[in-house]
Formats: sequence, structure tokens, C-alpha cells
Amino acid sequence: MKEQDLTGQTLITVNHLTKSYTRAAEKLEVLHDVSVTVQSGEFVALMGPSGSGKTTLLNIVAGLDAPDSGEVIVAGEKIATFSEDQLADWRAQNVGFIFQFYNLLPVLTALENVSLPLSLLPMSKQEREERARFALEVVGLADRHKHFPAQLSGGQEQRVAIARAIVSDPKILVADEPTGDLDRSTATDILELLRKLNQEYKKTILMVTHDPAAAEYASRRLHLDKGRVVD
Amino acid sequence: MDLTQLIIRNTLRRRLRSLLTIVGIAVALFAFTMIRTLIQAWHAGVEASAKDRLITRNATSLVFYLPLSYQEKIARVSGVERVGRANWFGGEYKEERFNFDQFAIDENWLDVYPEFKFSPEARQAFLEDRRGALIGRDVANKYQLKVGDTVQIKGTIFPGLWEFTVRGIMEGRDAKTITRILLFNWDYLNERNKTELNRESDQPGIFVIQLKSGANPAVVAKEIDQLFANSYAETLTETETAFQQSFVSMSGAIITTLNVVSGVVVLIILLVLANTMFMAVRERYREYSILKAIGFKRRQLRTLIFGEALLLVSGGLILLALFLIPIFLLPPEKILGPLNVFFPIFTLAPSTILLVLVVATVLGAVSAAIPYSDIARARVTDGLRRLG
Repeated sequence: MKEQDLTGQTLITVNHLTKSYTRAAEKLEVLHDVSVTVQSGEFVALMGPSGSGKTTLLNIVAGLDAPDSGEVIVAGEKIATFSEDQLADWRAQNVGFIFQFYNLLPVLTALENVSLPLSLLPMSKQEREERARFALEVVGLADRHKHFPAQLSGGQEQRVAIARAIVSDPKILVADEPTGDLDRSTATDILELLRKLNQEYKKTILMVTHDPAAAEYASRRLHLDKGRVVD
Repeated sequence: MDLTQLIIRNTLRRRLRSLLTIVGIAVALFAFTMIRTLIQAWHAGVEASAKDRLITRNATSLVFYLPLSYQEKIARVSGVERVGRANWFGGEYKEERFNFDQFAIDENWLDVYPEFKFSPEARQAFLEDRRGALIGRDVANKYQLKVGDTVQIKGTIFPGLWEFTVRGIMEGRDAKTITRILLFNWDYLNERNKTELNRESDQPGIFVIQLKSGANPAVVAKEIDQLFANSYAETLTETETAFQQSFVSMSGAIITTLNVVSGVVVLIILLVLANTMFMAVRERYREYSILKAIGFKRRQLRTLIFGEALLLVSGGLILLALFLIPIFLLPPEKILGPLNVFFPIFTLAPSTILLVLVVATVLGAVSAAIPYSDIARARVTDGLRRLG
């Protein structure tokens, strides 16, 4: 995994973003004229009550959802104009995902789960395995590479999920409540790991969390309420 | 980890369900294969027939005969190379009604049907012995008959006990040639008709016509029928294939039923497979959403889902082969028992194998198409929202 030396440059620019959903014929505006910039190497916590739009903002920045209007520029690319396939390629190369419930494939070992995103990239089997082993080393689970998810604890599963997120050396890591399903002690370990990825490997991290203690690990906190950035 | 490994792991995830699906597919494909083979066997006579050989029969019905004098007149029609005559005998051998076909034939018949192979000596011996008979290889093998043996047949259409001496054994030119047959001299039948049975003589049942090279069968057939139009015995001339087809058509209701049953079997396979694929994909809905999120495209998800369906189908086909190989290594009489009399050719045709492969593949693809379309249409964020 390369250490990225782009700290301080603008990596993500969100301009006048709006997004609404229609539920039972009722239009619900989730994001309203949101403008945010994130510098490369930042660790940003997105906070706010349920329904404030933080996960929607995260999904749009990660290329999982499209805005109704506004502009999203990531590393100089306007991702809102991409086709579905272009977005898939872009995500594979630029974004690592960490979910609350880890979401590892139960039929694959830790090593195979980690190497899964690499199967989308042009590289040899040997290179894939080397990179997956290294990612497991980074998260401290090299000795568990043959274990299946069912043989791991929740914290270990989340570490494998983090290894999967970083294995393709993406520019951005997005984490949606990464400690939401973990006990305090394990959550702290995971947050320490995210901090290490941010500080040692200069990964830009966007993390959605309800937990003020988790947000303390971020270098910046953005609060959303009713679809607006409030501070 | 590549897609192929993931397909295999997914298929083996619920081993009992996959195994039951594979067994279900194999059993249903087995039923489908046997039904198609039976239908094919029904058409064996048609397949063995020649499109450039004509049959002339009484236009009213096959049960009415034709005057012997027609043979010479037909022979003079342009485009006709040779005309033979024959009568269906329909006797019982060893008290079995349908054990093999028996025909009274003239010498020309032997030349019109070159697919029956026998030595010139056998031909000569047959023609010189009024009670001589030529028997097909199947008959010889089944009843352990050899040249010189006597065969006693009880006549049903032509009453009485008919005794023949085997003068030759006929081999088939290829696997399509049905050698469950006995031929004897037409003159012997005609003579006994005249002298013992008080039946009308000089009455062949059909004429078999070999065409000259390049002759148009339809034109020649029309010319023959016009020759006898408005006579007391009008003729109907058609290709041998059409003639055989008319017999198959008489069994139309049975064949239609078999076709419907084979269609139902296909539907069963589809339901078994579609049920498994639907459940499997539904259970993994969130996994597919995660795969989409990390960069998997539709075509890669399609490979995963269709690959799994085709892997199940392949398992079914392998199991099917294990069922079929030992069965079709047996002779037809062992497979069909007494029914073999009606289906002398009961083999697994390449066209049936191809049909089974195509049906299985198409059903595999169809069973995967619906769950795949659900996954393909779903937005990633909707899938992720289901995660909890």
C-alpha cells in the first residue's frame, strides 16, 4: 500500500448538492444545497441524527447514488456524469467500503475475502495474494488468513472488512457506522486502526457515526441536520 | 479468488439443496430423454425410408389390392427405373403376433431395396426355391435361425400354416436399416391364394418404385396416378417417406400425448431449477449489493448467477449420463421388454443428446434470468439499506 503524498490538496468537492426520495407519493428532500470540501488525508466524521442525510451524502460521494442536482468532484473527476459501468470501475479503483455489519462473504476465507476486489483489477494471482496478505498484516490478522468469517469474532471480521477496503489502495475510505455493531473495547481497536490508516498511510476517510467518542478520532467533524450542513 | 471459484463455492454453500436440485434435474432429464427416444423410435420407419423411392397403393385403402398388370404399366412411365411388388403377410411366428414383419416380394423388390445386404448365392438360392425365405439379422439372432432352417408361420390375413426354408440372412446397410424382417417369394403366396385359399390371385398390395437418377418424385407419382385415374382401382403414389409417415400419423394421439408429457417434464425441470436459483439469489441479495458496491459490474454478477445455474444443470447432465450409459449399452429388447416388438430401433440418437443439452442449457439460463434481473435492476443503496 502506497503512502499518498497529496495531503492538503482538495480531494472531494461537493457543490450545491440536493437529493430527494419519493416515498408513497410524497417527496422527501434528504439533502438540501449541501456544499463540502474534503482535503486529501483528512479523516472526516459525518454526524447527525437519523434522517439527517449523512449516509446519503456518503453514498453520493462514494459513487453509490446519484444527486438530483449539484456537482460532486472527486480527484478532479465529475462522478455524477459517469455511466453505471464507469462508476463501478471508479469505485473499484478509488473507494474502499467499510460497513457496520462487515458483510464478508461467508464462503470465502479471510484472504479470499480481502483479495475479492483485486479480482476486478488486471493483476496476476500471485500479486493479488501478496497484496491481500499485506492488507491482512496491516490490520493485524495475517495469522487468520485461512479462517472463514464464521470462525472470527466481530472485531476480527471488521478488521478483515477493513483489509478488503484498503487492498486496492483506494484514495478514499468510506465507513458507515463501522463500530456500530461492536463493543466499546473492540470499537476502540477499530478506530485506532482507522486512525493508523489515516495517519501512517495518508488515507482520506469519511466516516458516518452517531457516536461522539468515535467522532473524536476524526480530524474534522461535519454535522448535518435535516439535509443541511449545520457546522 | 476468481469468479469460477466463487461460483463453485456458492453452489456448494447449501449442499443438500444443490444435491436435491441436481438429482431432480437428472431424473426429469432422464424422463425427457426416454420420451424423446420413444418418439424417435416411433419415427424409425420414416427415417429408414427413402425420399426418392415411391410406393403405389390402392387409393381407397391399403386393405384393397392392385391388379398385377399395373406393374408393367408403371415400369413404362418415364422416370421409373424399376418396379417391384409386395404384399404384407402379417403372420404369427411361435404364437407371437408382432414379432417381425413378413412380406411376399418379387425379384425386383430386392433391387429396389439395396439397404438389405446378402450374398449373390443367397439371392440365387432364394429365387430358385419357391418356399425360400430371406431373413434379417435381427430375426436370425433373436430366434437362433441359420441358413437351411425351416420357419413355420401361421397366416392371419392368408390363413394356414406357411413353411419356409431360410436361404439367406440379410444384414442392414447401416444402423437405420430395420432387419426385423422376413421376405419370401411373391409367387408362392400368389399360387396358394389361387389353389388353396380361393382368393383372388395376381393382386399385389403395393408396388415399390425405384426412380431413375434425376427424376422428380412428385412428377412421376402424379403421372402414375393419372395412368389409373377413373379405373376401378385408382392408385395413390407417394414417396416412401410420406407412406411411412402416414402410419406414424395414425398414432398421432399417442405421439401428441408423449410430446405434451415431455413438455410437462421440461416445465418441471424449470420449476425445480428456478426455485433453487430464486432462493439462492434471494438469500444472497445483500452480498450481491456489496459486490456491486466494491466495483462488480452487471456482467460479472450475470456470470456468477448464470454460472451457478449452469453448474447445477451440468451436475444434472453428468448424473443423467451415469443413468443412461448403462441402460443404452443393453440391447433394445432388454430395455423395452415385450414393447421392443414395436420399436426395433431404440437407441439414443445424437439429435436427442443435442436436444437434451440444448433444453438443459436454455432452462438453466431461463431459471437464472429472473433472479438476475432483480439483482441487476436493484440500486446498490437499496441493497445496502437492507443490511440493517
